[in-house]
Amino acid sequence: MIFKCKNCGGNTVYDPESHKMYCPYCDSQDSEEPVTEGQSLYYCISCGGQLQVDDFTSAARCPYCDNYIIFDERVSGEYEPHLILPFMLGREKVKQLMRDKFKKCVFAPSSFLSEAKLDSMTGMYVPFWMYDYHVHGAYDGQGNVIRTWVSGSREYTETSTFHIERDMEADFDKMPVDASLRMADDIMDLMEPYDYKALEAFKAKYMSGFFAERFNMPAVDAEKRAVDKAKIDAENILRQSMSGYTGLRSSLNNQVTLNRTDTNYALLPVWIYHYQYKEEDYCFHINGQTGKIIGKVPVSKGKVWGYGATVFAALFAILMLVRQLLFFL
Amino acid sequence: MKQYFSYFKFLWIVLGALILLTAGTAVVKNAISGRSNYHAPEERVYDEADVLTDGEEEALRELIAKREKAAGCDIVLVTIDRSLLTEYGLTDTDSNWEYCMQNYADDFYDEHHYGYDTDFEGNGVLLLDNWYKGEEGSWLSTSGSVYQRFSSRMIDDVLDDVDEMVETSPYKAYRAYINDIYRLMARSNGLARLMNPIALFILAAAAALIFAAIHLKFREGEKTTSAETYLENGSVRFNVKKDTLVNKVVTSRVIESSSSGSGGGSSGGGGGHHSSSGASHGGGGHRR
Repeated sequence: MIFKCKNCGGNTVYDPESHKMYCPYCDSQDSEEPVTEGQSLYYCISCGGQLQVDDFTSAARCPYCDNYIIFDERVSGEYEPHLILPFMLGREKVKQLMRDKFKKCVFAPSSFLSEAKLDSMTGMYVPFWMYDYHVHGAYDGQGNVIRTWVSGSREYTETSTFHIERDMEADFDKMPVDASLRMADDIMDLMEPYDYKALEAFKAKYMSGFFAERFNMPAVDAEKRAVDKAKIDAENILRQSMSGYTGLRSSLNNQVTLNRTDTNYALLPVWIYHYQYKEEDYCFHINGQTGKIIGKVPVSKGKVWGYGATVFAALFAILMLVRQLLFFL
Repeated sequence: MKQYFSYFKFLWIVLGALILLTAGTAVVKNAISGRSNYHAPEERVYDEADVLTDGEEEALRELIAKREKAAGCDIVLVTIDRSLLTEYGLTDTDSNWEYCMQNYADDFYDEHHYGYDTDFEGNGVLLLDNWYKGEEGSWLSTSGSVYQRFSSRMIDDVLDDVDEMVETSPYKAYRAYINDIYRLMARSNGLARLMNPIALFILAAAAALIFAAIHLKFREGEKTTSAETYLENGSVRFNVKKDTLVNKVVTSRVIESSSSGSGGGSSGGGGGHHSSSGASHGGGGHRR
C-alpha cells in the first residue's frame, strides 16, 4: 500500500505536528488515497524497483523513488495491530531536542549535532505486546517500629513489633514489552513510559512516512518480561503499604500471583539516530511521543583529560593566589 | 581552540581577577605597611656579652631586616654578661631574677623607642640573653601587635627553641628566635596557614579528577517508570490491611558526655604588665 495525493499523485505522509496527512509535493492536507494495486514484497508499488525487505519489515522507503511503502500482508490479518500511538514529534522537533540536550557536551565530536547527520534520523514504529493483568498480593509477617528519645542523660529506644497482614488486589493496564528482535530490550524499557491516552485503533495511514516492523514473536514468547515487570511493580506497591517498618520478616513465600486478562498488539513510535565515531556505532533512541532520549554520547577521551589538566592548573593557581591574598590580609 | 577558551570563560575571569587583586594588594600593602617609626636606632643586635662573631652579627642583622618587613614588627636582640641583681641593688636571685630581666628588657625597648609603627607601645619584640654566671637565662619582651598575639605558651615555645641551642651555638639559637617571630607573626592568618601548597595541590588534582570522571562516565538514560505507571487508576484494593501490636520493648543507655572544658589559652597577651615608662609589655623568661 502507498498513500498517494488525490491532487497531484505524490506520496503523502503523516505529519506528527499537525496530526494530519500531508503532501510535500503540493502542500495538500488530508488528500491521501491508499493505492494497493500491484502490492508486492519484492517490487516497489510506485516505481517497480526491486526491494530487499527483511522478514519483519512492515513499512519502508523505496531506495529508488523515496516513496514510503506499507506492506499490506504484514499489517493485516493476524499481523494487524490493535493499537497504534502515532508519532507526536516530527523530525525537526526531535533534532531540536537532541541539540538542546547535548549542546553542553563539549567533548562530543563536532559533527555529532550537525544538520546533515541529524537529518539521517529515521522514525520507526516498533511492535509491542501489551498485557493486562489482575494481580493478587498477600503478605503475612512481622515488622518493627523503632522510636528513640532522650530524657536527662539517658537515651531510650522503644521497639514495637507488629504482626502485619496484607491482602491486595490491583489491575495493571497494558504492561508493554517490545516484540522486535532488533531493538535491545533494555533500551526499549528505558523508552517508557508512553502516554496511553494517545493510543488509537490501528490506521495504516499513520505509518506513511515512517519505517515499521510487525511483531517478531508471538505474544506468549514475549510475555515473561511483562510478568517479571508486573511482579516487581506489585511487590513494590505491597511494600509501600508497609513503609515505616524495619526488619520485615515474612512468613509467606510466593506473595504475588498474576492473571492475564487481555493482550494487545500495538505499534509505538521511536526515532532512531545512528552515529559513527572512531569506527564505533553510537545509537540514540528518542521516544516519538514524549521526546525522552536514550543513548551514550561519543566522547573524545583525550579532550576530556586535556580539559581536566586545565581545570587542575587553573584551580591550583587560583588557590595559591587566594592563599597569598590571605597572607596579605 | 575557541571552544576551549569559551568553555573555561569563568575560570579565566576568576583567575584574571585574582591576579589583579593579589598584585594590587601587594602594591598597596607595600605602600602602607612600611616602617612608620623613625625614632628608633638602626641597630637591632647588641652583642654586649660578645658571644657572636662580627660575621654572625652581620648575618643576624640581615636576617632581621628581611624578617621585620614580613612580620611587621621590630626584632631586637640584646646579649649581656652582667649581674642585673647588683645593678638593681637586689640579692636573692631566685625571687628577683624575673623582675630584673623583665625591667631591663622592657626599659631597653622603651628607651630606644623601638616599635615598627610607633615609638610608644609599638609593634616589636626583644630577646634579652644574660650570660652572667648565676643569672644566665633569656627574657622575651613583647610589645604592640606581638604582645596582643603572643600567649604565654607561644612565648615559652620561642624561648624553648632558644634554650635548646644557645649553649652550643648562640648564633643558631638567635636565628631560631628571629625565624620563630617571623613564623608566628607573618603566618598570622589561620586559614592561610591551613592552606599549605601540598594540600592545595591535592585539592586541585581531586577536583580535576572529578571533572574528568563526570565527563567520562557515559550515561545512557534513566528509568522514568514507577510501580504505579501501569496501574489502572484506583484499582488497588486492600482486602486485608491489619497491623497488630504483638510486643513492645524499651531499652535505655547512658549518653556519654562529649563536652570538654575550655581550651588552652592561645589568645595572646601572655605575661602582661607595665614597664617603668608606663608602656604595656608582655613577656616571659627561662633561666638556665
